[in-house]
Amino acid sequence: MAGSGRDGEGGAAIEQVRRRVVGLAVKLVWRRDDAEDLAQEAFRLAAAAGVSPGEERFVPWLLRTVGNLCLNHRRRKTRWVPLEWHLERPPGRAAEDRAETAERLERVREAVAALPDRQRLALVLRTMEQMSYEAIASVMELSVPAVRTHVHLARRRLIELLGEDE
Amino acid sequence: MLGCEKTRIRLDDWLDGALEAEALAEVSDHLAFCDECRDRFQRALALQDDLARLGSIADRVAVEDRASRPRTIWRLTRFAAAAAVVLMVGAGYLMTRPVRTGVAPGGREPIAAGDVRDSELIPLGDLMVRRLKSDRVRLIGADDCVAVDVRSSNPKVHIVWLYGQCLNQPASAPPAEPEMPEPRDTRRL
Ligand SMILES: [Zn+2]
Repeated sequence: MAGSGRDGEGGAAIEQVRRRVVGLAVKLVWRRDDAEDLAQEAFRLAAAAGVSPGEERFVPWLLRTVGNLCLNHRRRKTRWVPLEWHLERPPGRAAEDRAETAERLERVREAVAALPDRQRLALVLRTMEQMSYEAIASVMELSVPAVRTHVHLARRRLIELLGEDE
Repeated sequence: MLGCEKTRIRLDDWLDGALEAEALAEVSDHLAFCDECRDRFQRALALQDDLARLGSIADRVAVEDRASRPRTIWRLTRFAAAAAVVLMVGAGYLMTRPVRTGVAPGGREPIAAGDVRDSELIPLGDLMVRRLKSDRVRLIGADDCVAVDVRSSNPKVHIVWLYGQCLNQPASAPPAEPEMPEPRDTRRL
Protein backbone atom coordinates (compact mmCIF):
# COMPACT_ATOMS: atom_id res chain seq x y z
CA MET A 1 0.00 0.00 0.00
CA ALA A 2 1.33 3.38 -1.00
CA GLY A 3 0.41 5.14 2.20
CA SER A 4 -2.14 7.88 2.54
CA GLY A 5 -0.56 10.05 -0.14
CA ARG A 6 -1.47 13.63 -0.70
CA ASP A 7 -4.64 14.97 0.81
CA GLY A 8 -6.72 14.88 -2.35
CA GLU A 9 -5.69 11.34 -3.19
CA GLY A 10 -6.26 10.25 0.38
CA GLY A 11 -9.72 11.78 0.36
CA ALA A 12 -10.69 10.04 -2.86
CA ALA A 13 -9.29 6.75 -1.61
CA ILE A 14 -11.24 7.05 1.63
CA GLU A 15 -14.39 7.83 -0.30
CA GLN A 16 -13.85 4.68 -2.32
CA VAL A 17 -13.43 2.64 0.82
CA ARG A 18 -16.51 4.24 2.31
CA ARG A 19 -18.56 3.28 -0.72
CA ARG A 20 -17.33 -0.24 -0.51
CA VAL A 21 -18.18 -0.48 3.17
CA VAL A 22 -21.64 0.98 2.61
CA GLY A 23 -22.03 -1.35 -0.37
CA LEU A 24 -21.31 -4.41 1.74
CA ALA A 25 -23.72 -3.15 4.40
CA VAL A 26 -26.47 -2.70 1.79
CA LYS A 27 -25.90 -6.29 0.64
CA LEU A 28 -26.45 -7.49 4.17
CA VAL A 29 -29.22 -5.25 5.52
CA TRP A 30 -30.82 -3.97 2.29
CA ARG A 31 -31.71 -0.64 3.75
CA ARG A 32 -29.74 2.33 2.64
CA ASP A 33 -30.25 4.34 5.83
CA ASP A 34 -29.23 1.46 8.11
CA ALA A 35 -26.31 0.65 5.84
CA GLU A 36 -25.00 4.21 6.09
CA ASP A 37 -25.33 4.17 9.87
CA LEU A 38 -23.55 0.84 10.20
CA ALA A 39 -20.76 1.93 7.87
CA GLN A 40 -20.37 5.10 9.89
CA GLU A 41 -20.12 3.04 13.06
CA ALA A 42 -17.45 0.82 11.50
CA PHE A 43 -15.36 3.89 10.64
CA ARG A 44 -15.85 5.22 14.16
CA LEU A 45 -14.69 1.92 15.62
CA ALA A 46 -11.68 1.89 13.30
CA ALA A 47 -10.67 5.33 14.50
CA ALA A 48 -11.19 4.31 18.12
CA ALA A 49 -9.08 1.20 17.60
CA GLY A 50 -6.32 3.18 15.93
CA VAL A 51 -6.72 1.38 12.63
CA SER A 52 -5.78 3.96 10.05
CA PRO A 53 -6.10 4.32 6.27
CA GLY A 54 -2.39 3.89 5.63
CA GLU A 55 -2.39 0.36 7.00
CA GLU A 56 -2.85 -2.79 5.01
CA ARG A 57 -5.36 -4.13 7.51
CA PHE A 58 -7.56 -1.05 7.13
CA VAL A 59 -9.98 -2.30 4.45
CA PRO A 60 -10.29 -5.90 5.69
CA TRP A 61 -10.74 -4.55 9.20
CA LEU A 62 -13.59 -2.27 8.11
CA LEU A 63 -15.27 -4.96 6.02
CA ARG A 64 -15.04 -7.43 8.89
CA THR A 65 -16.39 -4.88 11.35
CA VAL A 66 -19.25 -3.68 9.18
CA GLY A 67 -20.02 -7.32 8.32
CA ASN A 68 -20.30 -8.21 11.98
CA LEU A 69 -22.33 -5.11 12.76
CA CYS A 70 -24.73 -6.03 9.95
CA LEU A 71 -25.04 -9.63 11.06
CA ASN A 72 -25.87 -8.48 14.58
CA HIS A 73 -28.16 -5.77 13.36
CA ARG A 74 -31.79 -6.27 14.22
CA ARG A 75 -33.23 -7.54 11.00
CA ARG A 76 -35.86 -5.27 9.61
CA LYS A 77 -37.77 -6.79 6.81
CA THR A 78 -39.74 -3.73 5.97
CA ARG A 79 -38.67 -1.12 3.49
CA TRP A 80 -35.88 -3.08 1.91
CA VAL A 81 -34.45 -1.51 -1.19
CA PRO A 82 -37.11 -2.15 -3.82
CA LEU A 83 -35.37 -4.33 -6.38
CA GLU A 84 -37.51 -3.77 -9.41
CA TRP A 85 -36.82 -0.07 -9.41
CA HIS A 86 -33.10 -0.63 -9.44
CA LEU A 87 -33.01 -3.31 -12.09
CA GLU A 88 -30.96 -2.59 -15.12
CA ARG A 89 -31.25 -4.61 -18.24
CA PRO A 90 -28.25 -6.92 -18.27
CA PRO A 91 -25.99 -6.08 -21.19
CA GLY A 92 -26.38 -8.26 -24.23
CA ARG A 93 -29.61 -9.75 -23.05
CA ALA A 94 -32.98 -9.27 -24.57
CA ALA A 95 -35.71 -7.47 -22.74
CA GLU A 96 -36.86 -9.49 -19.79
CA ASP A 97 -39.90 -9.41 -17.67
CA ARG A 98 -38.82 -6.99 -14.97
CA ALA A 99 -41.52 -7.98 -12.53
CA GLU A 100 -40.64 -11.63 -12.89
CA THR A 101 -36.92 -10.97 -12.51
CA ALA A 102 -37.50 -8.80 -9.47
CA GLU A 103 -39.62 -11.50 -7.91
CA ARG A 104 -36.95 -14.11 -8.50
CA LEU A 105 -34.22 -11.86 -7.11
CA GLU A 106 -36.42 -11.16 -4.12
CA ARG A 107 -36.61 -14.89 -3.38
CA VAL A 108 -32.84 -15.14 -3.66
CA ARG A 109 -32.36 -12.13 -1.41
CA GLU A 110 -34.61 -13.59 1.25
CA ALA A 111 -33.00 -17.00 1.04
CA VAL A 112 -29.57 -15.41 1.50
CA ALA A 113 -30.83 -13.44 4.48
CA ALA A 114 -31.95 -16.69 6.09
CA LEU A 115 -28.53 -18.38 5.83
CA PRO A 116 -26.40 -18.94 8.92
CA ASP A 117 -24.23 -15.88 9.58
CA ARG A 118 -20.81 -17.17 8.46
CA GLN A 119 -22.21 -18.78 5.33
CA ARG A 120 -24.10 -15.64 4.49
CA LEU A 121 -21.15 -13.32 4.91
CA ALA A 122 -18.79 -15.62 2.99
CA LEU A 123 -21.29 -16.00 0.15
CA VAL A 124 -21.99 -12.28 -0.08
CA LEU A 125 -18.28 -11.46 -0.15
CA ARG A 126 -17.64 -14.08 -2.81
CA THR A 127 -20.62 -13.71 -5.14
CA MET A 128 -21.86 -10.15 -4.63
CA GLU A 129 -18.61 -8.48 -3.68
CA GLN A 130 -16.61 -10.70 -6.09
CA MET A 131 -13.71 -11.13 -3.68
CA SER A 132 -11.13 -13.90 -3.89
CA TYR A 133 -11.20 -16.66 -1.29
CA GLU A 134 -7.89 -15.37 0.03
CA ALA A 135 -9.24 -11.86 0.52
CA ILE A 136 -12.36 -13.22 2.18
CA ALA A 137 -10.22 -15.31 4.49
CA SER A 138 -8.42 -12.20 5.63
CA VAL A 139 -11.69 -10.33 6.17
CA MET A 140 -13.30 -13.16 8.09
CA GLU A 141 -10.11 -14.25 9.87
CA LEU A 142 -10.62 -17.80 8.67
CA SER A 143 -8.53 -20.22 6.64
CA VAL A 144 -9.11 -20.37 2.89
CA PRO A 145 -10.52 -23.92 3.10
CA ALA A 146 -12.94 -22.79 5.81
CA VAL A 147 -14.14 -19.95 3.58
CA ARG A 148 -14.56 -22.36 0.67
CA THR A 149 -16.62 -24.63 2.87
CA HIS A 150 -18.90 -21.79 3.96
CA VAL A 151 -19.43 -20.64 0.38
CA HIS A 152 -20.04 -24.21 -0.76
CA LEU A 153 -22.60 -24.89 1.98
CA ALA A 154 -24.34 -21.59 1.31
CA ARG A 155 -24.62 -22.30 -2.40
CA ARG A 156 -25.85 -25.82 -1.82
CA ARG A 157 -28.49 -24.62 0.59
CA LEU A 158 -29.69 -21.90 -1.76
CA ILE A 159 -29.84 -24.22 -4.76
CA GLU A 160 -31.92 -26.67 -2.79
CA LEU A 161 -34.11 -24.03 -1.19
CA LEU A 162 -34.78 -22.16 -4.41
CA GLY A 163 -35.23 -25.35 -6.38
CA GLU A 164 -38.09 -26.30 -4.10
CA ASP A 165 -40.39 -23.44 -4.99
CA GLU A 166 -40.18 -24.04 -8.68
CA MET B 1 -16.27 -41.00 -17.36
CA LEU B 2 -16.86 -39.00 -14.22
CA GLY B 3 -19.73 -40.01 -11.92
CA CYS B 4 -22.37 -37.69 -10.49
CA GLU B 5 -20.67 -37.44 -7.13
CA LYS B 6 -17.30 -36.47 -8.55
CA THR B 7 -18.89 -34.05 -10.97
CA ARG B 8 -20.78 -32.23 -8.25
CA ILE B 9 -17.69 -31.86 -6.11
CA ARG B 10 -16.42 -29.64 -8.91
CA LEU B 11 -19.45 -27.41 -8.99
CA ASP B 12 -17.86 -24.63 -6.94
CA ASP B 13 -14.69 -24.57 -8.99
CA TRP B 14 -16.78 -24.68 -12.13
CA LEU B 15 -18.77 -21.65 -10.96
CA ASP B 16 -15.61 -19.87 -9.91
CA GLY B 17 -14.05 -20.55 -13.29
CA ALA B 18 -11.23 -22.33 -11.51
CA LEU B 19 -11.29 -25.69 -13.32
CA GLU B 20 -8.32 -26.73 -15.40
CA ALA B 21 -9.05 -27.54 -19.04
CA GLU B 22 -9.02 -31.28 -18.48
CA ALA B 23 -11.30 -31.19 -15.46
CA LEU B 24 -13.61 -28.81 -17.28
CA ALA B 25 -13.83 -31.19 -20.21
CA GLU B 26 -14.69 -34.06 -17.88
CA VAL B 27 -17.44 -32.06 -16.25
CA SER B 28 -18.80 -30.99 -19.62
CA ASP B 29 -18.87 -34.59 -20.79
CA HIS B 30 -20.84 -35.63 -17.77
CA LEU B 31 -23.29 -32.76 -18.08
CA ALA B 32 -23.90 -33.66 -21.71
CA PHE B 33 -25.60 -36.88 -20.76
CA CYS B 34 -26.70 -36.48 -17.12
CA ASP B 35 -29.92 -34.47 -16.90
CA GLU B 36 -29.87 -34.28 -13.13
CA CYS B 37 -26.41 -32.82 -12.88
CA ARG B 38 -27.02 -30.53 -15.82
CA ASP B 39 -30.12 -29.20 -14.14
CA ARG B 40 -28.26 -28.65 -10.91
CA PHE B 41 -25.37 -26.89 -12.60
CA GLN B 42 -27.73 -24.70 -14.56
CA ARG B 43 -29.58 -23.72 -11.42
CA ALA B 44 -26.30 -22.97 -9.70
CA LEU B 45 -25.23 -20.79 -12.59
CA ALA B 46 -28.54 -18.93 -12.62
CA LEU B 47 -28.19 -18.40 -8.89
CA GLN B 48 -24.67 -17.08 -9.41
CA ASP B 49 -26.01 -14.57 -11.94
CA ASP B 50 -28.77 -13.50 -9.61
CA LEU B 51 -26.37 -13.01 -6.73
CA ALA B 52 -24.10 -10.90 -8.93
CA ARG B 53 -27.08 -8.83 -9.98
CA LEU B 54 -28.11 -8.31 -6.38
CA GLY B 55 -24.55 -7.22 -5.70
CA SER B 56 -24.56 -4.64 -8.45
CA ILE B 57 -27.95 -3.34 -7.38
CA ALA B 58 -26.58 -2.89 -3.85
CA ASP B 59 -23.50 -1.13 -5.20
CA ARG B 60 -25.63 1.27 -7.16
CA VAL B 61 -27.80 1.93 -4.13
CA ALA B 62 -24.71 2.58 -2.02
CA VAL B 63 -23.33 5.27 -4.33
CA GLU B 64 -26.46 6.72 -5.72
CA ASP B 65 -27.14 10.34 -5.06
CA ARG B 66 -30.73 10.97 -4.68
CA ALA B 67 -30.55 13.28 -7.66
CA SER B 68 -29.15 10.60 -9.96
CA ARG B 69 -31.82 8.01 -9.35
CA PRO B 70 -33.60 6.83 -12.40
CA ARG B 71 -36.27 9.31 -13.16
CA THR B 72 -39.60 8.05 -12.15
CA ILE B 73 -42.67 9.35 -13.78
CA TRP B 74 -45.58 9.15 -11.48
CA ARG B 75 -48.93 9.55 -12.88
CA LEU B 76 -51.04 10.62 -10.00
CA THR B 77 -54.70 10.43 -9.80
CA ARG B 78 -56.85 11.19 -6.88
CA PHE B 79 -59.35 8.45 -6.56
CA ALA B 80 -62.44 9.30 -8.53
CA ALA B 81 -60.92 12.55 -9.62
CA ALA B 82 -61.22 13.30 -13.25
CA ALA B 83 -57.64 14.22 -13.86
CA ALA B 84 -54.19 12.91 -13.27
CA VAL B 85 -50.89 14.68 -13.58
CA VAL B 86 -47.55 13.34 -14.58
CA LEU B 87 -44.91 14.01 -11.98
CA MET B 88 -41.21 13.59 -11.97
CA VAL B 89 -39.30 12.67 -8.91
CA GLY B 90 -35.87 13.90 -8.14
CA ALA B 91 -33.64 14.82 -5.25
CA GLY B 92 -35.94 13.16 -2.79
CA TYR B 93 -38.81 15.51 -3.26
CA LEU B 94 -41.46 15.86 -5.84
CA MET B 95 -40.83 18.25 -8.64
CA THR B 96 -44.07 18.53 -10.38
CA ARG B 97 -44.18 18.99 -14.06
CA PRO B 98 -47.63 18.71 -15.43
CA VAL B 99 -46.68 17.10 -18.68
CA ARG B 100 -50.13 15.95 -19.52
CA THR B 101 -53.32 15.07 -17.86
CA GLY B 102 -55.30 11.91 -18.11
CA VAL B 103 -57.16 9.36 -16.13
CA ALA B 104 -55.44 6.36 -14.61
CA PRO B 105 -56.67 3.13 -16.12
CA GLY B 106 -59.37 1.39 -14.22
CA GLY B 107 -59.45 4.00 -11.51
CA ARG B 108 -63.13 3.76 -10.89
CA GLU B 109 -63.61 0.10 -10.35
CA PRO B 110 -63.17 -2.00 -7.21
CA ILE B 111 -59.99 -3.71 -6.28
CA ALA B 112 -60.22 -6.94 -4.40
CA ALA B 113 -59.48 -6.06 -0.80
CA GLY B 114 -57.17 -9.04 -0.51
CA ASP B 115 -54.95 -7.75 -3.26
CA VAL B 116 -54.19 -4.63 -1.33
CA ARG B 117 -53.67 -6.23 2.05
CA ASP B 118 -51.39 -8.88 0.67
CA SER B 119 -49.11 -6.36 -0.90
CA GLU B 120 -46.16 -5.03 1.00
CA LEU B 121 -45.98 -1.46 2.18
CA ILE B 122 -42.87 0.07 0.65
CA PRO B 123 -41.34 3.51 0.26
CA LEU B 124 -41.73 5.38 -2.98
CA GLY B 125 -39.98 8.70 -2.69
CA ASP B 126 -41.55 10.20 0.39
CA LEU B 127 -44.64 8.07 0.23
CA MET B 128 -45.41 4.75 1.78
CA VAL B 129 -47.33 2.88 -0.84
CA ARG B 130 -48.73 -0.53 -1.47
CA ARG B 131 -47.40 -1.79 -4.70
CA LEU B 132 -49.34 -4.08 -6.95
CA LYS B 133 -47.98 -6.03 -9.84
CA SER B 134 -50.98 -6.11 -12.03
CA ASP B 135 -51.63 -3.18 -14.26
CA ARG B 136 -55.22 -4.25 -14.40
CA VAL B 137 -55.88 -2.81 -11.00
CA ARG B 138 -59.44 -2.04 -10.19
CA LEU B 139 -59.97 0.14 -7.25
CA ILE B 140 -62.72 1.63 -5.21
CA GLY B 141 -62.31 3.19 -1.83
CA ALA B 142 -58.86 1.85 -1.02
CA ASP B 143 -57.62 3.34 2.23
CA ASP B 144 -54.00 3.14 1.24
CA CYS B 145 -51.88 4.69 -1.37
CA VAL B 146 -51.61 2.06 -4.06
CA ALA B 147 -48.94 2.08 -6.74
CA VAL B 148 -49.15 0.06 -9.89
CA ASP B 149 -46.28 -0.45 -12.26
CA VAL B 150 -46.92 0.11 -15.90
CA ARG B 151 -44.41 -1.21 -18.40
CA SER B 152 -42.43 1.37 -20.22
CA SER B 153 -40.43 0.82 -23.35
CA ASN B 154 -37.68 3.01 -21.96
CA PRO B 155 -35.77 1.13 -19.23
CA LYS B 156 -34.74 4.39 -17.60
CA VAL B 157 -38.29 5.46 -17.06
CA HIS B 158 -40.68 3.92 -14.63
CA ILE B 159 -44.28 4.75 -14.94
CA VAL B 160 -46.19 4.25 -11.79
CA TRP B 161 -49.84 4.88 -11.41
CA LEU B 162 -50.82 5.98 -7.96
CA TYR B 163 -54.29 5.47 -6.66
CA GLY B 164 -56.17 6.01 -3.47
CA GLN B 165 -54.91 8.23 -0.69
CA CYS B 166 -51.54 9.11 -2.19
CA LEU B 167 -52.39 12.71 -2.74
CA ASN B 168 -53.67 13.15 0.77
CA GLN B 169 -50.35 12.42 2.41
CA PRO B 170 -48.61 15.62 3.38
CA ALA B 171 -45.26 14.74 1.85
CA SER B 172 -46.81 14.06 -1.49
CA ALA B 173 -49.33 16.84 -1.72
CA PRO B 174 -48.68 18.31 -5.12
CA PRO B 175 -47.84 21.99 -5.18
CA ALA B 176 -50.21 24.33 -6.88
CA GLU B 177 -50.40 23.46 -10.52
CA PRO B 178 -51.08 26.18 -12.99
CA GLU B 179 -52.06 23.58 -15.53
CA MET B 180 -54.35 21.59 -13.30
CA PRO B 181 -57.66 21.34 -15.02
CA GLU B 182 -59.58 22.19 -11.90
CA PRO B 183 -58.00 25.05 -9.97
CA ARG B 184 -57.52 23.93 -6.40
CA ASP B 185 -54.71 25.97 -5.03
CA THR B 186 -54.42 24.83 -1.48
CA ARG B 187 -51.13 26.54 -0.78
CA ARG B 188 -52.66 29.74 0.45
CA LEU B 189 -53.59 28.61 3.93
ZN1 LIG C 1 -24.77 -36.67 -12.91
